[in-house]
Amino acid sequence: MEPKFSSEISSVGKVLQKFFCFTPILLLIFLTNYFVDPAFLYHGDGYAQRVARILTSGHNVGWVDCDERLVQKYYINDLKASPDVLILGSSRSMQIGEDVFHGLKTVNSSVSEDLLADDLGILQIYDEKGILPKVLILEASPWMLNAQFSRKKYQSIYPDIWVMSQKLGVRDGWISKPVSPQYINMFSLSYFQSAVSLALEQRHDHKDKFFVTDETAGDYRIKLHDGSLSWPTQMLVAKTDEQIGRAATQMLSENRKDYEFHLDNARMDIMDKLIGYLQKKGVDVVIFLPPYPEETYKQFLLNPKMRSVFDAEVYFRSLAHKYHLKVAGSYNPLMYGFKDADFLDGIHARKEALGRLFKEENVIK
Amino acid sequence: MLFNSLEFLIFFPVVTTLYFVLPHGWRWALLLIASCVFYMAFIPAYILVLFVLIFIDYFMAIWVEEAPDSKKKHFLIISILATCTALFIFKYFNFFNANCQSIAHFIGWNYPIGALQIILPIGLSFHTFQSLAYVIEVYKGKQKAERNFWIYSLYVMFYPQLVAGPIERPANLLHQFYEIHHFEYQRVVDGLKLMAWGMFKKIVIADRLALYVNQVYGDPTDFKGPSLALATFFFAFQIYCDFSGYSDIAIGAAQVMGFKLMDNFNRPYFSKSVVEFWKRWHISLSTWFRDYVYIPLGGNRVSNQKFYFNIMIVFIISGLWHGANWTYIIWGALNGFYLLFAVWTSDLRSNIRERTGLARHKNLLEIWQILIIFLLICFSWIFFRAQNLHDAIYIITQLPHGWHHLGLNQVAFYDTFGLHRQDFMLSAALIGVLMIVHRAQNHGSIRHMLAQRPTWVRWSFYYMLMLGIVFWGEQGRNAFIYFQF
Repeated sequence: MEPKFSSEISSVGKVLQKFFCFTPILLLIFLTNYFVDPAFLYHGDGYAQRVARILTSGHNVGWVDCDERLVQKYYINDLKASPDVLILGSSRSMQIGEDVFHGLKTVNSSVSEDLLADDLGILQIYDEKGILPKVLILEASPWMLNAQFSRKKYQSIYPDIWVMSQKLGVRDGWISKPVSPQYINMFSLSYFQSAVSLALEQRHDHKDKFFVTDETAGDYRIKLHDGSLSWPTQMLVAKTDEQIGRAATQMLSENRKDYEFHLDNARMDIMDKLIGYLQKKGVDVVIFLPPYPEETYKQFLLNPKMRSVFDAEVYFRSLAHKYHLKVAGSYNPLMYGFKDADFLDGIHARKEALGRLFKEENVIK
Repeated sequence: MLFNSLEFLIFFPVVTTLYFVLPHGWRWALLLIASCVFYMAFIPAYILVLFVLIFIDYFMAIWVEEAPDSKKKHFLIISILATCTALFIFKYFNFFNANCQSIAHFIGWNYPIGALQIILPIGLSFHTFQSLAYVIEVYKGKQKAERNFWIYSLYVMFYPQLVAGPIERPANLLHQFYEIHHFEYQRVVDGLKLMAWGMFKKIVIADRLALYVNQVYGDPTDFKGPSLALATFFFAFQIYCDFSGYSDIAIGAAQVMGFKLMDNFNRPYFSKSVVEFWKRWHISLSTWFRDYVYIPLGGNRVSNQKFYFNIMIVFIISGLWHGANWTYIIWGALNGFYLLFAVWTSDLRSNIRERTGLARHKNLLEIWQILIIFLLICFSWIFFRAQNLHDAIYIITQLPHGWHHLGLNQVAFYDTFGLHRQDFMLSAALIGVLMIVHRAQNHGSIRHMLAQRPTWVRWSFYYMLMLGIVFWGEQGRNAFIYFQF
């Protein structure tokens, strides 16, 4: 038995030795991920701070992927006064800027894949600085009431979310403390591949990861100084109804889980408390229900598992009723006469169409 | 749990380490718990379905063995019925119901039965077939009924092959759970190499080709002949690399722990006949159908008509096994037809080969045969991959159209396919690498060939494999295609 055991130990040693020979590959992945850092995970603070400074100094930024929440944190901290209008939501609200509300100081603090947690965190940053807005246009997308939403990006403002949760008297544990993406992506192959592509692109274009610009439209995404987003011109070209229909189908097949859920009681309770808190602070809240293209809405109607989309709208409207809030929009595009031409894809409405909606609803008193 | 996931990257070394650390008497328990964890990573509640089936088949096999000859068949039938009922409810009910609904609608009847809102338990078709193989073998007297319930459970649930095979036979697998496996360097390293190769096939080749295939087959009406043909060609390699990649990882993972699972693929696209293709493709399923359906039906020792019937029925059931959709049934029937057509035209083809002189040029004849079989198989993949019959028919009818721009210039060439130059070149290179490796396997196992080379050659190969995964592996954690069956 003894010789067999020692030969097993020596075999284990030999296998480990072989594994050790692959460490240069692990090292290559780690160093590339760390130094190229396409999403600013390891050098994020510096980049986010620089982006925020450029925006608050009145310039625009040719934009690449960056921690948007962190940018918001620095941006809000650099603001000198309360905005008249604050837009808070996801990419579905990001295009709304000061040109929609002429003459009013408008700030857009929307972040991609915005969740209720993000709203709490961002509003806490405004609150802490004492610059809560006069009017808050709060996007109420259905997934905000989905406790199982898979993509959670709020880790960089988690402490702010926690503070606001405490203020609202919400029990801990309604959101999980996310694992830091710095750890997750240290040896991530997809992060490595993005880093390699970015490094090759930069070598080719001699372009930094972001750049200052005064243009308000271009072939790339531009973050405007009011915080709103100008989509690449390629995305803005007119689309046929068929293209929008296909985009809708694709969007729903990729994000099916976001819409197949049951309304989460905890989130409804938090939403309720948040509105109450904001009203106490003198913020005039407008509930914004961004319309979906007709095909998307039709698929919601056809799929019994997505019934919660309608329940969510009913809930948001009842909440608005309870607190005497204005409601702008509806998930149903026909309510405001939205056509497929008013959309960029299966989920995002055009800025002009949303401007029309806000004007029609006369959301600013 | 997916093999190509971070969870498995942690799960596998932990389970393997514990396996070798634990005394032999405890290893079955570890493997059983690990298999439960592995399975429950998908939909936890479905482990109950698995255990109910295990429970039924465990007792049925014992009763089959102990019952007098006249009663044995009753228990076998109960076992088969239980398994088929589970398969029917979870996999075929909605298909059957939808067809009944269509017929009722056609003749103007009111049809009140709605669809079941259930998800197919992962790997159901695989483990049910493995259980059936066990009970049938016990019935035939070729296998002793396993008395240890937990070992039998492990036979059905052994995690490397639980969700997508190979569909093992009891004679090959059951006894291995009683054997003592030591940590043997060569076996472990060979297993790991096989896993790495399987991973390369899955995440580098299959998942990369899938990007284009999914785009085209997602909405084929957006595409013309060249794209449809290229997507079908890519799909042939995607499905091969996806499934054989899974099998390699499964066999490799089992091998690391000392288990020998059966081979599931043997370079099928080098087949020179349809019969040969089915001896090389999904071997564990083909032999299952041969042993438990085709031969019991009489095989080829029957009249011609019965033989034709047997072939068609086996292939149609095989199609249905893959999925409850008419596309799979037609795919199966088409392959059955290929086989019968080969039988009917055997003399004619032989004559043509003689008369044209092709028979004298062995290499040329081989290439011709391989090419023809590959094209026939590719054609059948259209039905397999298309989302519905309408799409499949559209693809087939559009295949001859839209080729006129192809030869204009390089830009037009790639535009015709709707694919970037780099993606096209990379996909072609990856398929080329696969073919070169398969060709080299004519001379024996690549692992053994490499073992005879100098260290720097071996390590260059290993490094290229790993760097291939690092640079080009698709990291979307795409599920394996055969999981859905």
